[in-house]
Amino acid sequence: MKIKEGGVSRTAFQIFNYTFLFLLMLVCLYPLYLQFITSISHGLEVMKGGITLIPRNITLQTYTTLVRGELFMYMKNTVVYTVVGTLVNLLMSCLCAYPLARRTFSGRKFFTAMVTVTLFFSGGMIPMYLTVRSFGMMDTMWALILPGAISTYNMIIIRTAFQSIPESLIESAQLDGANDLIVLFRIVIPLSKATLATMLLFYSVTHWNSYFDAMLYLNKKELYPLQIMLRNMLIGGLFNEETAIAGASADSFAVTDATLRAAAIIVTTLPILIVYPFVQRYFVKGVMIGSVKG
Amino acid sequence: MKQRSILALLLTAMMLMSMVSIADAETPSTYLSETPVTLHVMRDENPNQPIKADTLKIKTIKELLNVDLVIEAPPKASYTDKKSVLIATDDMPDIMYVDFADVQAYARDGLFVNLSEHRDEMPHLFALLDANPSLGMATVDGQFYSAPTLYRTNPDATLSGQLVNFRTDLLEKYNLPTPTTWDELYDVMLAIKEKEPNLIGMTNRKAGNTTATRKLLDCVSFPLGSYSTMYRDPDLNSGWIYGPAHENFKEVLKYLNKLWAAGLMDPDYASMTKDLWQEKMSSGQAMCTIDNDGVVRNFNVALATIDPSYKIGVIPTLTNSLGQTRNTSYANDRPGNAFVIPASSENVDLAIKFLDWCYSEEGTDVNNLGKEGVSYDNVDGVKTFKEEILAKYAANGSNAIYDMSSELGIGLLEFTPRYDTTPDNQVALYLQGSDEAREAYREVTRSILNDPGLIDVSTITTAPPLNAEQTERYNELLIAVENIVWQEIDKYITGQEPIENYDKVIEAAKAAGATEMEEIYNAAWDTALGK
Repeated sequence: MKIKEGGVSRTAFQIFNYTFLFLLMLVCLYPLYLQFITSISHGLEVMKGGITLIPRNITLQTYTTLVRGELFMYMKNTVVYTVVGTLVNLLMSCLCAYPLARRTFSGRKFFTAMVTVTLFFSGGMIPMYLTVRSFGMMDTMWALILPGAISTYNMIIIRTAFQSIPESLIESAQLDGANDLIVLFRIVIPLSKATLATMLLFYSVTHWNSYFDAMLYLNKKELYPLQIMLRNMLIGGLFNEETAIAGASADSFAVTDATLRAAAIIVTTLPILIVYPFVQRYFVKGVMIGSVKG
Repeated sequence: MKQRSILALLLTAMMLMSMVSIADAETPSTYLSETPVTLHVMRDENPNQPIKADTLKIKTIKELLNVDLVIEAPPKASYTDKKSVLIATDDMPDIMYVDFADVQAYARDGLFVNLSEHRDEMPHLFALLDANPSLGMATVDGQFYSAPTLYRTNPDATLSGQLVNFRTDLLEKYNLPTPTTWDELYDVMLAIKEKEPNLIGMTNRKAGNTTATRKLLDCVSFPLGSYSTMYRDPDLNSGWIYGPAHENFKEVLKYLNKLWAAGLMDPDYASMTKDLWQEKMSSGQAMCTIDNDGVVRNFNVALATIDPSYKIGVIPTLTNSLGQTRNTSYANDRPGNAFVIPASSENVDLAIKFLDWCYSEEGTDVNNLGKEGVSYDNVDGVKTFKEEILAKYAANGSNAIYDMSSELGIGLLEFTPRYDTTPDNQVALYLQGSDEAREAYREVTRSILNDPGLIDVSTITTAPPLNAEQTERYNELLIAVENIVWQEIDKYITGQEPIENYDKVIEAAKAAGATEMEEIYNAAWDTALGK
């Protein structure tokens, strides 16, 4: 009886569920799809409006304009900052979290308190700028990586994960002659893969999206990341009223600011979109990680 | 004996060596410094025109002045933040591009070099400043702390502004005369609307940080008899007044309401965006728009793909209900955008000389045209870009001017204290394709240039320099007054409130401080003029 009822209503629920989620997926994906078809449509068609589901007069000129505008240089910079930055982040966070997770570390409470204070207060933008400048990091990629090397919140999550490893396991390793570094790299880190994968995602997305630090500390254009180019296109705008000049033919309008904006959005979001499905299972696991111990 | 002769020889050799003077290599007289120096300058980068490092201009400056110019160019979108941090930490480059508001805010704290004290070392700049007394408004306590962006005219120069653009093909199609007054414009739009009810009469767009309504009023209120903010009305001879707090502003609202009531205003006018405006204009949905004529002329390309007979163009300035025929053109000199030399710079003397050079004829040529013989030819004072250069970039269509300026390092969007629109004008002419098209283009641009109704917007809106106290009080009052006024304007345009009730808004604005704002400006204006 129960199973039969469960069968019908369960199927009905599943049908409703899938339909609802499918529609939700369409609603979420549509803006991105619209940007994609705008980026491959001719600028004049975009200007006239009416591009909703199908691109018109397909052209790749927008992307070639972006490439000519040194897209690959910005992308290379962003990839370098993300990869190096994430590695530094993970290394530093693990090195910080490990002693704070060990019960035998006598200064644990004091250092935890010191570190937690930084969650709530920071020096501010100007003191940070002066600090970075005094260290000679201005106009180098280290200004984007070192000041933010440890995110306190993420480090505390890693610390919690490390704490869930039984102390007895570590003790037995030490009895076999392992020092702290070997324990950290050979035992603790391999056992915390899920957490670290999540942190890798968090840190790399932060690096990928960051523009403010780059804007503040970098002067040379060759060092700029992708987000600065995107932000400049979206906000700075390509519509310069007072220097507008009469164009010649339809070809000259193949690329307009609307198409360039759309292409820039696609180019900046695509890498993350590609990487995410491969790490999302860790993300799902990792969401609860900070909350449940053991 | 032998030792003595060796010693004697040595001494003679030494004497001879000390007498032989090593001939100095001739340092060219144009060099600003005998040893090569690096100057760091900063300005915002417009996404249209990337600022490059190894351009013809930079090479020419190195050849002529022995100066390595390094242009730091933060993106325009982030420039305000970057500038604020650099000013706050006193970490500024040798020359920096700022708004006049920054000069007013920080000059008194000694952050910037007082250029007036170096008048003798800056003959070119001060010759230009003295020639145009209205630039005296760009001073702080009577002293120039900044070098404003100045304009140099050229034979192909054009004029532009927020002009009345109309679908002239519709006038021809329905045999209607080109309107000469705003009332005739209304009649013509009404006549066309009867035949083609799907068309929108007048449309507008949003711009920058302002609302669409604000932008609309910025464009139409002066031609219609008033202005949307503080200004000096040339027909009223009244000194500074706050437009919306005066009687004539009712004429503006009356007209817009008339358009609205007849269904001739874009129903979305208050929420229009730039993209929506482009869409409506390019798809031929709108008859008229008051906007930058150069931008609007570009819509002809899109219109031609719908129907080759569609054409939108500028019509001469219209006469309003007060009998005034007037409109504004864009300012040429821009004291609001200026270059400063931080007092903490290590190369103050060099920066002063270099900045002054930028205002000389030679400097203006290099910054706007490149190198004579390489990028342009100078025949009897007429400077023309080389054909090969124009042809090379012409393939990029409307981006031609930006690509060319970016490669050569020239133009207003570069580090160019004194600008000349020769590159823009000559590229535009070249892009017309044929001599016939060029003549037609010249006809249009000349008609705008010779339009008697156009006045330079800076003659009515360049604000007087205020001291710190006045600036604070004025800003406070402006916020209060604008909050009252701009909430009400849409109601009068759409007819929610009858125009007679606008007197209440005038009273409220005056009570909130409009009168005091006018007094502040008038007092500062008189002080600046030495009255």
